[in-house]
Amino acid sequence: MAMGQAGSSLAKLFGRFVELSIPNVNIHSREALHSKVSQILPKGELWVATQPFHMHVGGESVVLAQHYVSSPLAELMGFDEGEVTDEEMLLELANLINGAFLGQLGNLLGVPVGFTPPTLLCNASQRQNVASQLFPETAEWTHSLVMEVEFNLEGESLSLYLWLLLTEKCSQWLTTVVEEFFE
Amino acid sequence: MNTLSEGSNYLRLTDSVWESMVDQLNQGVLVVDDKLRVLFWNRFLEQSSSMKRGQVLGRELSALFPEIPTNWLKRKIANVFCLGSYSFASWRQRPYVFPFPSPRPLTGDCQYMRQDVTFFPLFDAEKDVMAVSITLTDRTEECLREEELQRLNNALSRSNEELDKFASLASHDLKAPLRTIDSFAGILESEYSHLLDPEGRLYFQHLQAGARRMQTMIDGILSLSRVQTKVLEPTDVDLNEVCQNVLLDLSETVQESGGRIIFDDMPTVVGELSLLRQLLMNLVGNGLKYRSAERAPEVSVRAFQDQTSWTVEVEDNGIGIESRFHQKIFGLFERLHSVEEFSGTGIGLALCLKIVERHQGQLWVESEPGEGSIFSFRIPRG
Repeated sequence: MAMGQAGSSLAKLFGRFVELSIPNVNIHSREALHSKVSQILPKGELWVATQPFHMHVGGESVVLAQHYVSSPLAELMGFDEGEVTDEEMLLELANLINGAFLGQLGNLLGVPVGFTPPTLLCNASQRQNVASQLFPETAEWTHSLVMEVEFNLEGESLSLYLWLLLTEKCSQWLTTVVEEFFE
Repeated sequence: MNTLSEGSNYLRLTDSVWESMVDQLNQGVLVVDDKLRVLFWNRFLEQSSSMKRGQVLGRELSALFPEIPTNWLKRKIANVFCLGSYSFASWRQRPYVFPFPSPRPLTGDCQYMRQDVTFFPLFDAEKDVMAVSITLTDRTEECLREEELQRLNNALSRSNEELDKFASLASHDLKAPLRTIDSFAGILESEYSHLLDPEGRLYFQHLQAGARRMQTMIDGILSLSRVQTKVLEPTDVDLNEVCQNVLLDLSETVQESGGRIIFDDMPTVVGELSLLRQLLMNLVGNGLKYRSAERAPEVSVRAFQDQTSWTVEVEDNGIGIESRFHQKIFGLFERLHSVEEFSGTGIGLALCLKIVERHQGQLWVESEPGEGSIFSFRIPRG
């Protein structure tokens, strides 16, 4: 539901229909996430942005976008040419997608959502060790609930992936809240 | 009036107290409506902009600050209204949204205050966005520190590059006169050695051995320099193939020593083929070289993985190393034995360390005297 509403908000923002894949929700080990990144990255020159969020307990989102999305998206959003850099646009995009989806999820569940500014983990030419940066060996968690959605914009060959990574605590809390929501 | 309800720890503050608190924040706080008209302006902003609240309320933000790109600002505010979510502008991408003077006008060498700016929605009772609050955090200090760090890093990189260039040039230039010494020494030996007495011939041998040793050291410095400057082109490297090559290259040594090299099933890793080959060649070669007089050398190579990396172990049954030398041996020209005991230049392990570091990995040794050694390196899985 939140995803559909997020798509609708984004469509309003971009002035284009936003196609969303059916959200894929799974629990992944860190190892599995590593190989997922390794499988996706060679498919194209991707920018990777991460953004921490706080919804009762913390989580992080990862937005993966093709390197060429920046310019057409800036145009769609009404920014003048040269007004935003590629880096700025990608961060804005990550923030918008996260804001749209998590904002809607927070609204549905009646929970306030807080955001920390997104950071660019790597641009298209700095793809070495992305998996290790995203999922460092030193991190305490071993498994994470991952919600994966692919966004496509009508009439544009733009694909974006959004992963929401939730800690075990957050997943447990979310399960309880969703169960209560449907009761 | 500020009230603390009976039985409650929640202090209900009046608007004027809230305002006073926001005024005392070390952050800029303003509120604008969908037409960018200023609805609130705190004291931090008054001080930074030299514009009093009365001067700005009701006026359009872009008219107050024509330096801020109007369209960009409108888009930012519109996005917050549209999605009801946050938006950010970091000083890393957009250092000065508001053209405020530096908080360190005398000691900081920057003209403007670097800022992080956050835009967030303010909702009305119907949960519709009624206004956008903009907060501004001064990041000038952080930025100055980062710039200083960057300056030092650049200086260090330049210094390293110059050192590499120097090592490479010096090694090349040293090789030419050394070749001359070596070749004339050869001529002298073949044509005039009969004129020398035994002591003279011994001196002569020392001269030739010294020249060859220097040649080996220069080659080592050149190799090290090449490892440092080589542009890496990582590919999938099958370590089974690499190990087979190493085995082939060392077959003579293995035969002479009566020893053996054992390879487990090795993985395919991501790295630079030539460097990984050199790395395994040096580590396995050392395992054969520093052998115990009491037993034939045996070197085992194996690999295992964890979630993020591959670890390769090269274990030998050689003379072992005291723990106090476990770090030292990786230093350039560091040797624990005389040339008479074991030949070498003290470059091999320094080269190994450099190769592993260039693969973003770690290299270490576990060893005890007389108990053999395990040299291990760990590199990311790619």
